[in-house]
Amino acid sequence: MKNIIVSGWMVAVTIFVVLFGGIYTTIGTGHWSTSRELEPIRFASGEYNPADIRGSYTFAEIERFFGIPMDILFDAFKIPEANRTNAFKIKDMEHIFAPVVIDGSEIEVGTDLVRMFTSFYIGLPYKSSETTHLPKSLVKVLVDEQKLTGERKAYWENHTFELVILGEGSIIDESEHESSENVAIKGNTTIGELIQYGLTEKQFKEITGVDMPSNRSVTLKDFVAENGLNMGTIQIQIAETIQP
Amino acid sequence: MSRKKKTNITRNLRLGIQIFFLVLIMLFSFNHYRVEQGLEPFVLSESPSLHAICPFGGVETLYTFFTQGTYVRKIHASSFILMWLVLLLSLLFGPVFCGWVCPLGTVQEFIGKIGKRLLKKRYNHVIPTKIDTYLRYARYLVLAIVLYQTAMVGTLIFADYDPYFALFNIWSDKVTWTAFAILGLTLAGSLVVERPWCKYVCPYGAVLGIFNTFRLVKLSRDPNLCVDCGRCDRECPMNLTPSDDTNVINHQCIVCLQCTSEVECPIKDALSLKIRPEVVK
Repeated sequence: MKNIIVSGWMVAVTIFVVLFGGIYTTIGTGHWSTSRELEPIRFASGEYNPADIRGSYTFAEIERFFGIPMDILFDAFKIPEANRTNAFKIKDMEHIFAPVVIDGSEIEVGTDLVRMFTSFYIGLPYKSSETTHLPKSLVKVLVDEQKLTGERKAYWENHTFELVILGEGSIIDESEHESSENVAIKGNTTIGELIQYGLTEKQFKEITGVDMPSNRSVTLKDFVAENGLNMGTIQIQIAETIQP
Repeated sequence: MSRKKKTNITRNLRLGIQIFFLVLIMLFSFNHYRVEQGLEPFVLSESPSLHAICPFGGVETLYTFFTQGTYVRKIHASSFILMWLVLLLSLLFGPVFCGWVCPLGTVQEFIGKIGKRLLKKRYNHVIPTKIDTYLRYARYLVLAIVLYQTAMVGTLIFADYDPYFALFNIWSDKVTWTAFAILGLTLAGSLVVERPWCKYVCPYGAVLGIFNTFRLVKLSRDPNLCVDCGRCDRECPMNLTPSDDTNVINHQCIVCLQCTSEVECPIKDALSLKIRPEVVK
């Protein structure tokens, strides 16, 4: 039997048919996705759940999903004027504000505070395992907007801290931040990264009281939430263990 | 023996497809950056991240997917689907993705054209064969390290070293200096060696290269027609020697078709992509 010769044209057509045909088909079947699920999960009643707010959300997305005006958010978190853009993400606050240590627990100015604020602002439940105090400016906005009243107002007005700005408020390059000698243990740090930083399974169990998950891609935040642990305490203990 | 009609259709066709994908990826990446800045996308309405449209991301997340049922952070279903589609293409033709689609390969080729003008015949022949032969296997070591580290850490560690990511994110602040340095070395190296990243380092090229050993459509030389002019050997960007065998089976072939009768081989059908009789049946 004679060989069948395949021309360059056939190669070219096959490339387009396979790649774009495959993409088109998987779009049709609903399997194609080029981004994280943008929308937060919803309560059974239909409202978006503040607990699913991620650090990668912009303040504009918080406004869109939860109806909190961006300016209110910027004011509550005292975001510098230069950073008040549609692209400003919750996680960008980590590069503007220093973490605050209160009663031995570190409070990071980031996702959990936005969840708390959102919960108070829209009146939907969110139980934090890591935030014990709120920024003064945040409590002031909630009180001014009459979102905190009665005993809750009294409680949170007595559990506040001042936001401490790092440098000029400019966003530090993340890669620079991560390559510094002192590794930052954040909520989205994975178990695999902790191992890479030198944390052993034994040390992990001593700190958390729970076996290290076999799934290396689990984030510390999810692990802590799943096991009902205190994020601040765990963060500090892990940091002290790997950076004695 | 019949002389083939001289045209450059296949060469230009490949070039056109390479430019198409290069521009497409640049637009996607630029749009992703614009959307992150709160601006409207430019020309195209889509703005996926580079990670979302890189089929190697699918390879990197394989371990996590099969052991945990999830993707590594920043990898989405699209990368995974693209990985399977490219593997299908590779099963048919070999690493046709490297030779026709990969934008980093295209950029290296473009810079290589300057190198050819500067170095003339010395271009792509500066590394001693003995060293070069061993270096060609380094990409498998890179692949093993990347897969192991990604499986252990659960994040895309390769992005910090990836010249492809650096090249198409040159306007963003997400690229590490290491990736920029490797990109610089790759581009500078392209002035003396054809596709240095592909030959010696690319972990994805390593994966796809394996398909050269069992792909369905093979690059075949007809010894009855071949006049042993050696032109195919001289024109191969990967320094392979198609004239040595009846079937070109080498893990480094990128299926650019430069050696074939459609492009450089002066004899019609002497060197072509063929579905072999035993496969056709």
